[in-house]
Amino acid sequence: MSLWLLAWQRLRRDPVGVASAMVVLGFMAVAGASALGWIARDWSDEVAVSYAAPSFLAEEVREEEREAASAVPQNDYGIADPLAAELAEIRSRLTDGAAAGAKASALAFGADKWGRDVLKKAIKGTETSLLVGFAAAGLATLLGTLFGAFAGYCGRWVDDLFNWLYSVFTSIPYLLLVLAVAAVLGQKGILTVVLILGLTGWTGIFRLVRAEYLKHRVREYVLAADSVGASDLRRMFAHILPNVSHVVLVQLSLHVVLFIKSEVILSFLGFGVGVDTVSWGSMLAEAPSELILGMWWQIAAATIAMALAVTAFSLFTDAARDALDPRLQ
Amino acid sequence: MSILSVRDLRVGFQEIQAVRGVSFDVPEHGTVALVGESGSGKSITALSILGLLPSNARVSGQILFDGKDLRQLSPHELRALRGAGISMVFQEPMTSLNPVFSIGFQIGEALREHLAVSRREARGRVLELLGEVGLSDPEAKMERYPFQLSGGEQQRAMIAMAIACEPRLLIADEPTSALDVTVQKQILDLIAALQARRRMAVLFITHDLALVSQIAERVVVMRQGEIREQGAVEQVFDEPRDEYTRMLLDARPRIDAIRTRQRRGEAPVMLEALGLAKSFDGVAAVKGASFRLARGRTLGLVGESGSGKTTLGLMVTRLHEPSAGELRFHGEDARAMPRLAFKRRVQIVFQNPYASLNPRFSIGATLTEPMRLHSIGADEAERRALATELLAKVGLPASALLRYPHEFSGGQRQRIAVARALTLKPELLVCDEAVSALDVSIQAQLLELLRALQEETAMSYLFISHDLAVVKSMADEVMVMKDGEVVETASAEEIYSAPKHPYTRTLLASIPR
Repeated sequence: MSLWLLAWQRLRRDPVGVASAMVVLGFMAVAGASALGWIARDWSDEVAVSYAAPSFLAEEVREEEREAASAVPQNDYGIADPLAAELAEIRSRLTDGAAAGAKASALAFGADKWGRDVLKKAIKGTETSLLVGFAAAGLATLLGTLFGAFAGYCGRWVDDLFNWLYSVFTSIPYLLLVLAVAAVLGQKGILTVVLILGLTGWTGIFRLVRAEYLKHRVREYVLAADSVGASDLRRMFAHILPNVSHVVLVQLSLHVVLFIKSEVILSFLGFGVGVDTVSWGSMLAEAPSELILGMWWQIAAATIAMALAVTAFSLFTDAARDALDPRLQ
Repeated sequence: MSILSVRDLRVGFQEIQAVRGVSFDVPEHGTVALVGESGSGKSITALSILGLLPSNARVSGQILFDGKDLRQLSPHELRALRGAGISMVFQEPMTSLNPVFSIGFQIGEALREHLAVSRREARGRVLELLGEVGLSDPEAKMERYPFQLSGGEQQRAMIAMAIACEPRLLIADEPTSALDVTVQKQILDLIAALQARRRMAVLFITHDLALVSQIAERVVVMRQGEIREQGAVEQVFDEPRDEYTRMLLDARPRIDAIRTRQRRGEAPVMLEALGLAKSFDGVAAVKGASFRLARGRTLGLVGESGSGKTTLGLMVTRLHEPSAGELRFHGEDARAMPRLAFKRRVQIVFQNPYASLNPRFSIGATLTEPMRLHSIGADEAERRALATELLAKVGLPASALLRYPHEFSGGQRQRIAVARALTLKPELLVCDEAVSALDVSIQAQLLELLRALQEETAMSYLFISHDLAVVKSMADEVMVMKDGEVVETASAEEIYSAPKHPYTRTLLASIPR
């Protein structure tokens, strides 16, 4: 039985791991369906009035409006309006016609300033955030693993070179580095965010993978591979990599969480995704002005979605780390 | 009168029953040896006496020390007993000592904990103790940290700590297994001397039957959690009643009983080394070794840890590039030969079967990889067939192909490592301590396999080992190394009957008989 199968069996026995994996899979299904256009394709349509309240609040809000309306005094000057009948007819015809195109005054989860459905925005935002998280973590892990493998395995000047690069990247304050790369890349968009995060985020993975390669390259099974004639690249990637893959996988998972949060921060600061798309970060960026008006549903939707995804992903990472830990084998 | 009585001890972990109803006694002032191979439950038994088992262990039975059942004591009472009543010496001195405290401090701590003495008094006692366990210059040694001491000195410090509070029973769990044979003898002599002087009882746990006759009066033989036989040492050794005990006694390589392999006739020289040397960062590991190895013959390479024998083996397989010297293979300069062509002809089997197989590769992948790299076999099916054949040759079923290293025992893994080396049909096989990590019964089987393979294929062996008895049973010629230098090379007969170099003589004299 392979070690992967054993790890899977251990993961299956961990209830927290299974539950968090389900939540993570749920989020990925939502993001996938949204990316394929099955759901939330029309997220940018104006389907409701500006700041439509969530439907469970709608009664309350309507009540308030009615009170406000009834407070307005009637313009009754005691003179009969000769055109009253015609006006009433025109008015009723107008409202009849407008009824078809009328915007709802309430949505299940409310609407934003432009009357867009907050639920659909949150779904679309899930797609963006997960895409950014996975793509950036994938890029960072790829770079970190490659650099770490060469530095740890080859040693000498190769190691010095990558360590120098590592020192340069880690000596610049992170946010400054991110903003500098963002400024250089110029245009806004998902690809830019992925590149920013990926190109700056490989350092932690590099350090760990390098240490693992340093440890493994002198192990007897690697010497044995050398003695049967396996080339350096084969030893690095066919022999050692599967043995350090648990470290890489856990780091990948950790960085997905980290980059989802980073994307939110970048978008909040205005360096993230453009106005033509939506992410949890851009939803949060709209929130301050809304909160002043008491419109809390957009920030709540983004926060709940993000908190749930990040918590589930972190718990899943912990469970995966336990399951993959070679000391337990 | 016995100081320790174990009655029907049972220890289980989850589904596994590690110890199943073990009963034995340790008489006052006596020495009892608890013998068994790996997995026999001997260490678990020792740990349960001191209550040092992990918390998931299920323990039943009685452990009477001085008439008191240790299992009924509170953790506090048990801790007071450890050190003062019973103390323990472990196998690995390096991992049993705390690396960040000086040994003087650590021994003093044991004294202050149990005897409530002042710092000054403790210091004096520590000096006395270090002198008693035979450490030279105790004054300086007590300020040293564990890593500044040799393995033998560390074990002496451990023993000093164990006897600091004058225990009535000393439990020694494989105290010499990690040590060189010359140091092993010193430590055994020390334990025997201390026991006579302090009138302690000793429970000596070991896998090595040869040590038992040297140190113990009574012996308890364990296997798979059960006692197979117990009695006085002479009786058990001379007339073993149990079949397993008999097998163990037969399997143990007794150096006097082993005959060297008598092979006459000249064989063509295959490998020749001239002044091979290797240094790491200016430290010389091997200082110029020269030797010849003939086709179909075995050259034994003997030395203690740090003698440079493994480095020499790695240079012969070109896993390490020599700093100086020449390596000739059939008269050709081996270092000028293409890498793959050379590797096909020279293979190596490593010491640790747990580390030398890639845990993520199935046995099938491990065995077919070399064939693929050297284009042996037309397609995958043919390579699998070849691999199955090789597995049969080393005594493993074809079903092993689909399994992974962790599903096999140490002996089986070492067979797989041999099979991997054989995939390339090498002319020279370097065995670097290839049987040292195995139990004696498994060791005997693997040595038999290696001998049979040599008869069949006329491979040459460079057989590296610290174990003189094992080398005697394999080698035609023996080379002895010390501190990176070859001190003596001669035919096996000469080395074992008339050693010339004083170091060779010391080595031979240290072997437990």
